Order: sequence, then structure tokens, then C-alpha cells
Amino acid sequence: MFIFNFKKNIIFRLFVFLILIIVLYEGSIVIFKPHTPNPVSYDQYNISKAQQFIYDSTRSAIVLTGSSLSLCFDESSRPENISNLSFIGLSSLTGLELVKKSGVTPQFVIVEVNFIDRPVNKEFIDSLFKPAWTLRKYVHALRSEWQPISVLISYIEEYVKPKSTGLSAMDSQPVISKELLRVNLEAYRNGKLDITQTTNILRQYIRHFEEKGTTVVFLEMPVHSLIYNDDRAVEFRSALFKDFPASKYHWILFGAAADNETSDGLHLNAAGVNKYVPLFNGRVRAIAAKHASVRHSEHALK
Amino acid sequence: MLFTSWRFFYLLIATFILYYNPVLKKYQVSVLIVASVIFSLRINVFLLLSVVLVNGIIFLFIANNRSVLSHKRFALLGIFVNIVILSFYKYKSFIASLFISDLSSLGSTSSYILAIPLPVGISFYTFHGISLFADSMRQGKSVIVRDVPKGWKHTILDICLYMLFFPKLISGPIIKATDLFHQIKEKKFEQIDWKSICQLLIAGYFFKTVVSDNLKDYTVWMSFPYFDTLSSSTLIAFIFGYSSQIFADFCGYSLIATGVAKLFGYQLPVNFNFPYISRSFSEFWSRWHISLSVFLRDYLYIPLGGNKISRFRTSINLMVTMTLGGLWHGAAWSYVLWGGAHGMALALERPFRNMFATNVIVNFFRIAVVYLLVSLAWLLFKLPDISHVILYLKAIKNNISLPNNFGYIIPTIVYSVPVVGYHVYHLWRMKKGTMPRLVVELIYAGMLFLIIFQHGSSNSFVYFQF
Repeated sequence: MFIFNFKKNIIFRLFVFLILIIVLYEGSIVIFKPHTPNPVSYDQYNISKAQQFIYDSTRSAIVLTGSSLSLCFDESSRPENISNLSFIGLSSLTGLELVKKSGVTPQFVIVEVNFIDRPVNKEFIDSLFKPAWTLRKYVHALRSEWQPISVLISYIEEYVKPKSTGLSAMDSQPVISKELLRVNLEAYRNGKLDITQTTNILRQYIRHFEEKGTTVVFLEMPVHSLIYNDDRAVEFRSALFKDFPASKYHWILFGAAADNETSDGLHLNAAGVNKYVPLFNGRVRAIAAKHASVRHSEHALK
Repeated sequence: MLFTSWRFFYLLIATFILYYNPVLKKYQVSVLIVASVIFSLRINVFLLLSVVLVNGIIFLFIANNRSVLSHKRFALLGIFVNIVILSFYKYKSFIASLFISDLSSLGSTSSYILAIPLPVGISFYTFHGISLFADSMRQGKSVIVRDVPKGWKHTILDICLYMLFFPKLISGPIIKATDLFHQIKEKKFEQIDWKSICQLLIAGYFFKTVVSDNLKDYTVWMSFPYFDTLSSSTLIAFIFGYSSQIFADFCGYSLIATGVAKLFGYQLPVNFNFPYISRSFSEFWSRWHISLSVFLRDYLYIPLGGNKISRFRTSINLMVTMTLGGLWHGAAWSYVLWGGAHGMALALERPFRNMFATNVIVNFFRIAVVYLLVSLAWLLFKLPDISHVILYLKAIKNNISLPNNFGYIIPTIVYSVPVVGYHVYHLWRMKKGTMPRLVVELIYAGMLFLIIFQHGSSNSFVYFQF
């Protein structure tokens, strides 16, 4: 038949060569087991992080959901049991939706509240759970972290600059850019925040996780004082405290960041990371220990 | 509807099945027109159909009129109407800003009119309308009106197909009326050139989804004020990265459009011919966006006198043509400046065109200079605010001491390699001939592999904004 005629049918030939390349690539990942390359773009970072969470059978007891502000907990040592589902350009709501949809019930879920008005990115979530793409669980080449050119770029970066993750460009700037601060403050003020709607949506997620026995912890990342003390931020913070009071929920609060602790008013720079990450780690350990002792006591009483 | 969307794929399959169905073979043109309308449903289809209707009605007056003078008058009217439509939708704010310093002070009606968004593809389909009348004026209406019984109905269908044909509707290539009309006849399934179509589509999708869609994730940091915090090396890498991105995006789109058109038996003009190996600006414009160059040459530069008059007038004609060509790309001074810069380069290099020896070293130097200047000029596309372009160039000078952003530089270089390789391969092929078939097919299979496994996040084509 012409369709399967290798010599005469170019489309069939291309198809055969394509399958060959896929098999060779997948085979080299499975056989040689190279170390997982660092993501080389923000999109790849988000997708590969989400895929690792979905397909990784050893999921952590603590899940952190947030925006790029919470990324710093990736780039330094963090408590061993934290899965960081902070997504660049997205918010905690997307992370919470991902955890909910994956069916995972963590012991703790930490919810960053800074950009929680960003709605759930349904397209992003749907792309992770499309039925045809369950192949990804078994075919590594289909996963975002193993994109061929990204693998090449990652290894080149390691050779040129061993400690580079490819995403810390902001953090490498020692001095805050006034122009960036102005742009970010303006963007923050112009954001369409509906406080009531946002707290209602958040409340639904919190209820879902609490019903499954998960302890919810709220986190407010430190940002520049101009943004921290902005009227909109103050109003939103008050609404959150009212709906999720400190008497009932754990809150990890740092206040405003100093001038020299962020690169653009929002993201912690190296100095900020050195200061706040150990504080965060300490708080998380304390909360986890407190709950462990409460469970132990309850168990002992039984 | 993007070429990279599933919706487009489903539309293509359905259209293909209906088009080559033996029962519907008499209605092939109608099938393509319906598919084109469906394709354009989300891009202000009412305006598009109105423009087609107006063009069709004016052309009917030409077709039914024996007087040559009336023919010319109607043709000029048709050209004028298309220019007015384009000017209104594209240049209303730009023109208003020339006379009114504070546009926010205008009344609600004027503000509403100025806020009407630019319809996608309008620069292309109004140009097709202009070509329709210009060609009929210069070559006679007979090249367009088919000499068959009930000719006018077929003429209307042909005009609809010419203006709406979905592969070229939104971003070209701009095909002249005479070049498409003579191709309108019954197409047969057996005549499909599968090899050529495969190569065009694979190359097109590769450039678009692998090269351009990935590069955009890095060149986004060229925007103000983000470039302020990046090292000089990073900013320089971005200039060449954006140069690769805009080529890959536009060339990719043109290749896909050409491949899809070929699937239905229509040949669109080649739009890119390895432009970054040009040794001069005149050569560059014979290789970059060729369909636009030909349009501007035939309908603007030559009617102005071309190069048939004095050297001074030739230079003026070049400046006017290229400046208007720049303005076609966008209603902003940066595009005027971009076009003017190219016009000036064309005018200045003209006396020296044949002075250089043609050895490898001189050619390499010339290619490098043209590539560098063209890439710098693309900054005016990326940063439409001219003050930001100046700040960008200042940042290159001032940020030498900042640490290099390898996380941006390396991916930008790696994703630009296919564009460089594409041009180098062409130079190699000119000297050594084609590569063995097996090697070529493995390369295409490799590109297909990367389209599946390395596509960037979907983004509309850069030239959609024009």
C-alpha cells in the first residue's frame, strides 16, 4: 500500500523517523538517568513544578501555594517536607486548585495572600490534566522538565555558571530599581481587586481542605513599605484578618520589607532572602511541631 | 483563529474533506469562502464582509462598464475607499494627535470613535482591495473577470475568495489580484504536492512554535523599565534575539500560510528569501517581506517615477515609499522613523552598490553590517516609544558593570541558532548543492519532534498587530 510505502511516501518516512527520535530520546532519559535539568523559562518552571507535584509519588506533608513572591523558598534551603507550588504570574488560588484536583491531602497547606486576587488559571490547570496527557506519567520526554532544548540550555548554563538556576536574574540585582518599584506600585494600585469575591473564593478552598483534615496556614510575604502600606493592601489585609482571624488560623507575618531587601518592591533580593527564609523555616517548624504534639496528646488520651 | 490552535486544525480538516469531495467539486471556491468566513469570525467579520461587499460592488460597476474613463474612475474610487477604511481604523488616533495635544479632552462621541480597536488583518485585506483595482486599471478588467456565461456571479465569488482566502487573510503574504485570479480553477486531489506542503508546514510551525514562541519569553524583558536592570551583554543578546524572533514569527507564519494554500491548490508568493544574508539594504528588501516590497514598488515607487528620473528624485521616491511602508506597520512615529531609516539607507547606498569586490571577506563584512543595522532598527518595533529606545541604548552603555544574566543570554542564543543555521545552510547550499535526502528528512523529523516536545506557550503572531 502506498501509505505504508517507506520508499515512496514521504509522510510515512517522516513518521517513522519521528518515532525513532522519540524512542531514542526517551530511552536515553530512562537508561542514563541524567539529573533533572533546571527550568529555563518561567512557563517551563510553572509547568514542570506542577507536573512534578502531580506525578511524584512522594509528596510532601506541607504544601506552599503562592505567586513568584514565594519562589525564594526554592532557591535556598527550606524544610525538607515542603512542596513549593508557587507559580510565576499566578496566585495561591491556582496552587490550591491544583492540589484539590490532584486529590492530594497534605497535612498543612500554606497560602500566600499577597496576590490572591489573581483568579485561578483554568487553562493552566486544564492543560495539566488533559486525559491524553496521562501518558506523561510514563513517558518522561513528554514532561516539561525534559524538553530537549531546555535540557541542552540547562546543561550549558551549568557549565558556564554552575550555580545559576536561570531564574534569579531579579535577585542578582543588588539595588532596587526605582522605576520598577514605581511600575509595580502602579500595577498594584490599578489591579481589579474585589475583596468580597476573593475572600469568598478563598473560603471555599479553605473549607475543602479543612474538611479533609488539612491545617491551613496563611503567609503574607514582605514587600516594600510603599506597597505594604498602600490603602488597597491595608483594606485587603483587614478583610482577611476578619474572615480568617489569628485566633483560629496560623498566620506567618513579616511586615514591610526594608528598602534594601527587595529588587523591585515585590521580590526579595539576596539580602531579603537571607533574612526572611530562616524566619519562615522557623515558623513552619514551630507550627508543625505544635500540631505534632497536639496529635500526640490526643492519641495518648485515647 | 491562530494557525497554532486546535480550532484551526479542525477547520482545516473539515474544509479539506469538503473541498476534494467529488460531489462538491463545482463549489470549491464557495467552500473556501465559507471556511474563510468561519476563520475570521472572531476578527470583526462584519467589517471584513462589508469591505469585501464594497469592493465587489465597485468592481461590478467596472465589469459592466465599457468606457475606459469610467473604468479608471471606478478603479480610483475603489483604491480611495480602501485607503479611507484603512486610514480610519488604523490612523485615526495618530492623525488626531497631530492636531489635538490632549486627546482625553475630547467629547464622549469622539473618544468613542478613537477607542474603536484596530481590526486584525485590516492592513492586509485593504491592500488586497487596492491591488484588485490597481491591477484592473493597469492590465484591464479582463484579467479578473472570467469570460464565462453568468460571468459576474463567478466574478463576485472570485473577488470574495481573493479578499477572504483564510491562509493569507490576517498576515499575508500580499498576493496581487492578477496572481491569484488566474489560479482559480478546479483543483484535483491527485495534484497535491505533499512533499512540498509537509516541508512548508513543518518549517513554518517549527519557526513559530519552537523558535519564536520560546524567544518571546526572554525578549519580553526588553520592555521598559525591565531592561534597566539587565547587563549590557544581555541587552545586546536580546537585540539579536528579537531579530531572530521577528523573522521566525513572520517567516513561520508565511510558510504555514503558503503550505495551507498549497493544500488547496493555490500558490502564494514567497515572502522571505533568507533576508539576513543580505549584503545591502536593497538586497534586504528583495528578501524580507517580499510581497510588501513588491506591492510598494509596483503601486507606489514606480508610479512616483521609480529610478527613471534624477538621482535626487529617486532618493526622494525611496524615502517616501519606505516611510509610508513603515507607517503601514503601525500608527506611531517609531514606525515612521523605522521606515525613514530604511529609506535613507537605500538612498545612501545606491551610488555605491556596485563598487565592492565580491570576495568572501568583503561579503561577510557587508552581511554583518546590514544584519547589525537591521537588528538595531527592530528596536523601534519592540519599543514603540522612541524615548525607550534611547534609554535602551543608554542602558547598553551604562550597564557594563552589572553581572551577566546567563539565564537570559544562553537561551536567547540557543533559540536563535535555528535562524542562523537556516541562513548558513542556504549559503552552504548555494556553494555545495543540496544535502542527501536522508539527512534532509532527518532534519525535518527532528523539527517535527521539537514542535511536539519543545513548543513555547502559544502567542499570537507578531505581525497580527499590523
